[in-house]
Amino acid sequence: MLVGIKGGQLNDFLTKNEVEDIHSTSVRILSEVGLQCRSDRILDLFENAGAEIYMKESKTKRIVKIPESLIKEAIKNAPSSFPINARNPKYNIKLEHNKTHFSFGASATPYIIDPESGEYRKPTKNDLVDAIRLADALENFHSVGAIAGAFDVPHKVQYEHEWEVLLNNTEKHISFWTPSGYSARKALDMAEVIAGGPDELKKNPIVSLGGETVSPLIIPKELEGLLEFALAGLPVLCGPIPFGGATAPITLAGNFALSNAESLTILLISQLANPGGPFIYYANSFQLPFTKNAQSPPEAAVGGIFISAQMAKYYNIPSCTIGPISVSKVTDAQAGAELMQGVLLPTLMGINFVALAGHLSSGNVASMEATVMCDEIIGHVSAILDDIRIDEETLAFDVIKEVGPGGNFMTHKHTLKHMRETYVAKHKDNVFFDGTHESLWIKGERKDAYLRANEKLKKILNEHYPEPLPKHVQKRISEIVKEVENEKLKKRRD
Amino acid sequence: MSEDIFDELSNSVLTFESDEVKKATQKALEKGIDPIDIIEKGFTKALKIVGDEYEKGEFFLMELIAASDCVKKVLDEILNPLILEKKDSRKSLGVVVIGTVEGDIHEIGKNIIASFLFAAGFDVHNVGADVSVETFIEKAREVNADVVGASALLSTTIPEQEELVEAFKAAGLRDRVKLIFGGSPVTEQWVKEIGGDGFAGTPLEAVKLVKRLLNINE
Repeated sequence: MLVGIKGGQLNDFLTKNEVEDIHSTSVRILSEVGLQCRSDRILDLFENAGAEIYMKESKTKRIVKIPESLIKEAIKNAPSSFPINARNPKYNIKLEHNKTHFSFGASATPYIIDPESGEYRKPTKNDLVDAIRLADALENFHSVGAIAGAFDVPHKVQYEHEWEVLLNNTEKHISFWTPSGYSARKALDMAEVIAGGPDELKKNPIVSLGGETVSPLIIPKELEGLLEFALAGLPVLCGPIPFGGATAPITLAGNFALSNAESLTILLISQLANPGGPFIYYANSFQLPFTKNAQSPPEAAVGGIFISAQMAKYYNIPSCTIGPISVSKVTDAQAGAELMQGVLLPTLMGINFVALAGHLSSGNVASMEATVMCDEIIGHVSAILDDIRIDEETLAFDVIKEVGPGGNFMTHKHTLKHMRETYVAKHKDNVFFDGTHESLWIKGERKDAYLRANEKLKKILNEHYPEPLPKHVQKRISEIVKEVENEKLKKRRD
Repeated sequence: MSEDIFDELSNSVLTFESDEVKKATQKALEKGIDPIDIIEKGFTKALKIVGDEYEKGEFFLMELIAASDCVKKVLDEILNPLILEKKDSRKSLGVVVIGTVEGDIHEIGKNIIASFLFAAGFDVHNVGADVSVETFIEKAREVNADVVGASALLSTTIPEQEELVEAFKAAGLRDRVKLIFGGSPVTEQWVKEIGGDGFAGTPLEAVKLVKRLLNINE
């Protein structure tokens, strides 16, 4: 079992009244404005639960209005803590109050930065295998999602290939996405082969799934993927992406209230499908890049980290967020600052599941160098926030007395005894926070953070191979992918 | 005198309120100004100002879209019917049909591109989201499109862009219509692979692309 980072040192960003104002606005949005529902299956759930449906005959215009009572019940039913398991039980984690875990990837990007040339290029299924092996090796990622898309297989079956890569190349928990209910069902079929069946998978949740609304206020058919996972009793994460000034109000509060309304809708879907089922909350306040020279807006961090964390605590539901992901196009100073912000702030707010490490350019580019950097930044932050031991032995009064003024501690047995307990001693192979002397830089090869990370990732890829799945399991998973190919590629559209 | 009216038309656009643009338009029509002059001497100037200010970083995206949408509304509701009645026609840089592919309902990005192209002087037909290739072809035929743009936000819906290229070939329209593509998973390389004519990642790049494809030098 992996232990999360001790987070939650920052708190009470908003007052209780402000939190309640946001919540009540979200409730009004759901009950008075409602959402457009593009999914028949989800509409049935709402209708059976007693929500009001308008213009039901029109697939594209029908509106569902959700009464406050349904939202209240969903919040009450959702558990405050639950396990997130892995195929190797030593990687099991538990989402619980103020414990933070980091997850690698989550978005199948159209670009990867080639580790040989440093150039952007189209990613392949093999790149994804490498990226997942890397994340499997890096100790600070407690969960893994796809990062580079398998863009060399037909796009219609891309997600099945990506799930196949994930299941084969990491022993850790897998948290990813699917484009449809059908695709989610196939991912579940694959995971069930590993777990030993649907009941076993429910008891041993080695996979989880994210789902999104289309802002403002549309429940797309794609959300049936999340519905499938909820019905199977597996953890689901919500991730609405409203853009202030375009698909949400430009003001941070209104933007967040709208996002929160959509997140509460996804929570409700999960609880109607499986009352008491595991749900991870997230809402945010992105902003449309509306100036010619678009910047990464601080407002996104305020909503997606500070307010989101506080709302999750108000609802008493585990939280997730988009964490160490940079808007920068390369692993430069901007990326370094943004990655640190994306690790430190969610941890200080006690967010439980921080996803999307390893992406650059707002999640459109995969970088294995950024992945290595994120891992080390998480390690640093974790060490900064870890409990420290304060007692007679560590206060070391007797040692200070013995060495006395002008002496030194270098060879004292107290130093020799405790030096291996320090973070630096435990992480001798770390490369990002280079603390070596400038004379070595002047005379040496002058390797910057990118090059140091690049060397480290190549070394890991040469050495690290996760425990393979049993042959017959691998075979069955690959058969499922083949079956989907046969079904999807023979028709022009499904 | 008429100079003042054109200034008034131009200024009305800079209020970003479609009611103000409508009022100024009605006033100009009452004074006997030709609908085509209203557009070319009034609105085109305003949209040029907004476009230039956006380029300079002074105006924001929303202002460009609001100005563009106000003018488009008055054209669609008031001026185009009058121009049609008089069997007249106004100059445009070209005709663009734009939409989001079938199976995909994300359309904010595509709508932004549509407004930018309109503001730049193109005749734009926005066919919405979740649009079948058949509808794209039908609309392209109906309006005699020079360019068709199709957006897709999901990597599982971008194959529809390839279908679109194939369908335009099959319909015998490929030589007459330039096909351009956009959306978050779409790259220059993908557009090359499927045999499209161009890709743009931002609205200003999209305007440049369409001008380049139609050999418009400005």
